Amino acid sequence: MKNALSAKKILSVALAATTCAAALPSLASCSKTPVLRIASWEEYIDEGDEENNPMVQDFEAWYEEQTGNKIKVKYVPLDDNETMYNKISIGEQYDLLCPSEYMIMKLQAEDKLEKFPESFFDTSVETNYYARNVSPYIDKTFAEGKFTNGESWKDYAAGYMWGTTGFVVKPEYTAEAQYWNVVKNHGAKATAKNNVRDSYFMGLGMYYDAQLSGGALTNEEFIAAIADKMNDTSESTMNAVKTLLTEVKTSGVRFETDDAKDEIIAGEYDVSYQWSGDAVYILDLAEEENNLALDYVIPSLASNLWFDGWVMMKGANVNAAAAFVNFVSKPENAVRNSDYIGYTPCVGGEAVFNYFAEKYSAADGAAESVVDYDLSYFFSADGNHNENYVLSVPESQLKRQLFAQFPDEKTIKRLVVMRYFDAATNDRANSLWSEVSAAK
Amino acid sequence: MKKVRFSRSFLAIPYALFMAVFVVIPLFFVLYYALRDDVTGRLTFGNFVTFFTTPVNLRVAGRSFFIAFLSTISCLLIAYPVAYIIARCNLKNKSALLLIFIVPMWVNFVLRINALKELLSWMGLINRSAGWDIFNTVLGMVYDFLPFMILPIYTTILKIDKSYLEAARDLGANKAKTFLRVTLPLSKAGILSGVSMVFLPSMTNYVVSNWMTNNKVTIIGGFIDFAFLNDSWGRGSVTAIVLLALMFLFTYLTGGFKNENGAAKGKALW
Repeated sequence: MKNALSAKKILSVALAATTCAAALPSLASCSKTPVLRIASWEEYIDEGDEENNPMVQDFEAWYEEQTGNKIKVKYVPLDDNETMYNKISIGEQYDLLCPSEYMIMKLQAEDKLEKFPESFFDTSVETNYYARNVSPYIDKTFAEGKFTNGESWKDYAAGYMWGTTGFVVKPEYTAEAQYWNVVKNHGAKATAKNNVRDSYFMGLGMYYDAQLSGGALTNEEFIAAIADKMNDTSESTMNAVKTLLTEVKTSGVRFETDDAKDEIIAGEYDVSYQWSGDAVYILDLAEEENNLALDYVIPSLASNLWFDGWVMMKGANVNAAAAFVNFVSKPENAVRNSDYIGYTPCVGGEAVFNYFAEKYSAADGAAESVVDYDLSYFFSADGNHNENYVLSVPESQLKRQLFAQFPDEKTIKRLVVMRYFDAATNDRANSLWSEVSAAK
Repeated sequence: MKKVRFSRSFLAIPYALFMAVFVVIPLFFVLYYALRDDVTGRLTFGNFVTFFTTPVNLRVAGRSFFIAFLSTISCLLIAYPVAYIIARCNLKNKSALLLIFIVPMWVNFVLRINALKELLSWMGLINRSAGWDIFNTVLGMVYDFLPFMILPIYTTILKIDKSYLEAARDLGANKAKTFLRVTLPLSKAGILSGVSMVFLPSMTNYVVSNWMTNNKVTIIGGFIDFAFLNDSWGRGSVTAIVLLALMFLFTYLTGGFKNENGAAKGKALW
């Protein structure tokens, strides 16, 4: 490992040396204002429009107002977690990152992250918007989630956006999509995700669906160990999953990254495996543009709970970074970001609840039958049932956008966070994926 | 003290520096990672052993070779007549004609491939069968790399001394024979240069194969990309080195390292 590190150091020095010349002019013009470097995703924060400032600019003003100090935010949009990891590996320094759960685990295991300060969790301070507004559901998940060294996720990460994975299907296949096999059954009329982790999870779903229906495992046994089962990377399971995924691939299923959205919106696919945020986007557009009703279904066995969280890199400007997390966690700002990017924020609060209530509540005198939808688990202070957080929604929303943004309580119990692959597992997973992706 | 006099070779210093920083040093890194185990971090030849003992790697390498072979042959069959006609036509402004084939190169290739894909999918030719997938990939490669085949061939044909042709005709050769015995052998350097410029990239240009087939056809370049993105630098580096070795072999076999014929090769080509 030591060799690797020094080699990476040399590489970064070489890179730094070559970029020096380019950086010089900008350095000369730069004043003493400290810079907060944030690495996140493209279009993953309110970038403003004619009437509103971008969120980042509002933060700079707010920060100066609060602390009297100027700050300049450098928001660096990256392609994906892997690119972020590679950038950090060759020595790029950021104050704040917004990786997904498994990358947070990997970075923490490699000792690259800084803990949030004690003061960040003090709910008596008014500007600690995150601690004051984080949803009890997310807070509990983060408190109970443990890194390999036993520390809790909560110490290192503040949730930003979260969601599930599931199937966007035409209504006639809703029942069929309760089972993971649905992708394979629809062959060329189905899409899956073109990456190892999402595909592996889907393969595990198929594997355990078969185990349960074949009687090799009882439902109770599965539920008792659901998190371990859906993170099973033993060699025998991996081999079984490889076989299943190879069958999926050879059945003609399209493995896509983000490039199939237009076709799905046009109704060319019966079934497609999607992240919930993208599902909302697809459902919206299919309805608006093509008058096509699609459903979002989470298989009854189990599904994936994913989140992107703010973490600080070692050596970060802790106070400014914490201030930024708090600023975007202010319910009004969470609504702005959520509205802009279409994902579900990790914070609750009145503003967030009102936003979703207005968005999904049934209109008066609507023709469709209206049902209750309980969001207490996410919005109430303690996560327990509270009449104030029950929405009256059109029945179709039980399997549409609302369900994609907030799964019901029954589904929540079946959601599993996928852990990161350690080096040896990652190596085996990559071998698996090489075979699957090249199969035909 | 000896006076340092400016000589022309000093002008090569920026180039040498550039090559050192962006070619030579990175190559050593690739070599280092190829010899480093991804899991344990120890130095080993294990990555090479794994590469050659994993059937899927060889299968994908074979598939890439096949696609590159088809693409190169297709490019050659299209490019040679085009280059020949343009070089030999009596138009005053040949470059205007040549421009028609060069202009597409000025448009970003990702854009062009996307447009081609849209066109094919409108015609219903995307996602039909495994055979069509290969065809579409080759089509994309040819679309992409054709100018790289036309240009060197055009240049060599243009440079062939007309008096050779007159001599052949004087000695009784008909047009076909003149072409086969004079023009073709004399344009060999252009063909080889074009072939190496098309063959090697089309083994690795996975953007074309991914896009034209909705990720159904995986070629060796895609493996390298995947390995580096997923923290398997050793795996990716070995694949890159194997490709590099193949290129060297290919260049050696086609005489790319020989210096004879310098006039027709080194100087004549762009």
